[in-house]
Amino acid sequence: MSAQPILLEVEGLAKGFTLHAQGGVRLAVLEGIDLRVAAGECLVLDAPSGSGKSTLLRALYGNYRSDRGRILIHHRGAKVDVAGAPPRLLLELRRETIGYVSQFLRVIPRVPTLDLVAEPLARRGFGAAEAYAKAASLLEALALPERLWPLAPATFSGGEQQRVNIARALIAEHPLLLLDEPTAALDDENRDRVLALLVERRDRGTAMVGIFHDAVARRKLATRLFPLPERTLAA
Amino acid sequence: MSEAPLLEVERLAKRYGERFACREVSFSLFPGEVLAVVGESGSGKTTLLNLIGGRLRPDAGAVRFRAADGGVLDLASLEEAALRRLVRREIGFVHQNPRDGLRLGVSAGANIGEPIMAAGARHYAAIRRAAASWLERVEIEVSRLDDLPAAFSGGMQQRLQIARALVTEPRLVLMDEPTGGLDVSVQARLLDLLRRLVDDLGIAVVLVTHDLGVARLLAHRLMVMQRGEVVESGLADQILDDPQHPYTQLLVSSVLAA
Repeated sequence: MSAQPILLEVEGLAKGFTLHAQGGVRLAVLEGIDLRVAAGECLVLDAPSGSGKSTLLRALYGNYRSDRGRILIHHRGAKVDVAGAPPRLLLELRRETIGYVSQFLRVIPRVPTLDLVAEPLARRGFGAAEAYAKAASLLEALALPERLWPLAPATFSGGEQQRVNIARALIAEHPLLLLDEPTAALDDENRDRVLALLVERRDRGTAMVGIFHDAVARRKLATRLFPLPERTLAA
Repeated sequence: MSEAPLLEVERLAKRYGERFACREVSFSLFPGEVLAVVGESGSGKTTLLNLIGGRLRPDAGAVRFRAADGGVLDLASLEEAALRRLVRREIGFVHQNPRDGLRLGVSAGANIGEPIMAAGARHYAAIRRAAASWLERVEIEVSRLDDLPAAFSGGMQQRLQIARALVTEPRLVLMDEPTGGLDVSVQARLLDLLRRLVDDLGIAVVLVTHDLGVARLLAHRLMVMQRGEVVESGLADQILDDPQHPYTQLLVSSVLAA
């Protein structure tokens, strides 16, 4: 494992929220987070609800701003700091290097499933034929019935939407994947399909940071657990 | 990342009497980027759009535009005739009310054909073909080519206006509440269309909206304005999910989740 390159390095990360509408109360959620993840590793955040696991994932993706510290990502042969990166660089990081699987699909009205899944690959400059072929093979691997592919996922069940979400997040083969309970909405059979895909990606060198409450998911995927300190509430 | 910006706005200001409609506004926009400007009515969003598009002259500041030939021109100080030429060639407008962007007295086909003719096309059949293909692109039946826009529904009129604005493939498109007056179902169709066209054409867009859902769906970046000033700006999802400024927090928390 030591020979594998480090893809993510977090140093002294702190993140809190100031709620202006509630008298400026300050919630300190993350303090002094240090972690490193190498290619082929899956780090599972291990802490109770409300301790800031999702906040950490969102900060790593640049969806939340960091107050202090650095989030260094291996990108285009150099180290790039997500904290304080300008929007254009963050968008480039998300296109090429960091993938994120949220708990729920944010449905876009009227866009068919197959287009939705192919889009991240097309945006990276791949041809339409290749993007659609890969989208189809992913949806097949996730056992999403083919009759659903031309439809927009707004009316799909939670589990179907979540598999669309996962296919969309996996298609571009980002070297670093952030996973926020990707299997929570799935039955056992579909959970196992998703886990098989993720295990295969991990073993091919994808670095992962994830939140999994499901014991099976943890056992199959985690190479290391990362405890978060309990959250401190400050005025 | 090394590409040059298409547009650089620097310390732009516009005053009406003692009141600043726009003050110290600075940002750059790169080809292919969609920037949404959000804020309440009266926050200066539309004034900013008109300043960028050369429809209003600022009291201070610069609007540097990189023209197709690579030259950089300051729209704030460009002489009137040159400004009109540049705007016609390289900047498209989409108004909230389609009647402000369309000519109601001529056919749908002529509405799309006129800007191509103004840009130099002379061959009638080719212009008609281009108009027909744009009608299809904005999901209007080609059989409506010779109908007057007055016979169209509001959603169709808006799609026609978009075709008219985009047919000359401007490099910058300014949109003022493009989904404003439409029913929700019509809005969804229009948003999907805009999203696809912007992606396909790689145009840069400045989009004024008070609808944060529209901003999230279409924009890469967001700028929040209050009383003529930019109070917060950044990546669209970052601003919406982790707003920092009290006014932005208020805006975000005031939206009802459907």
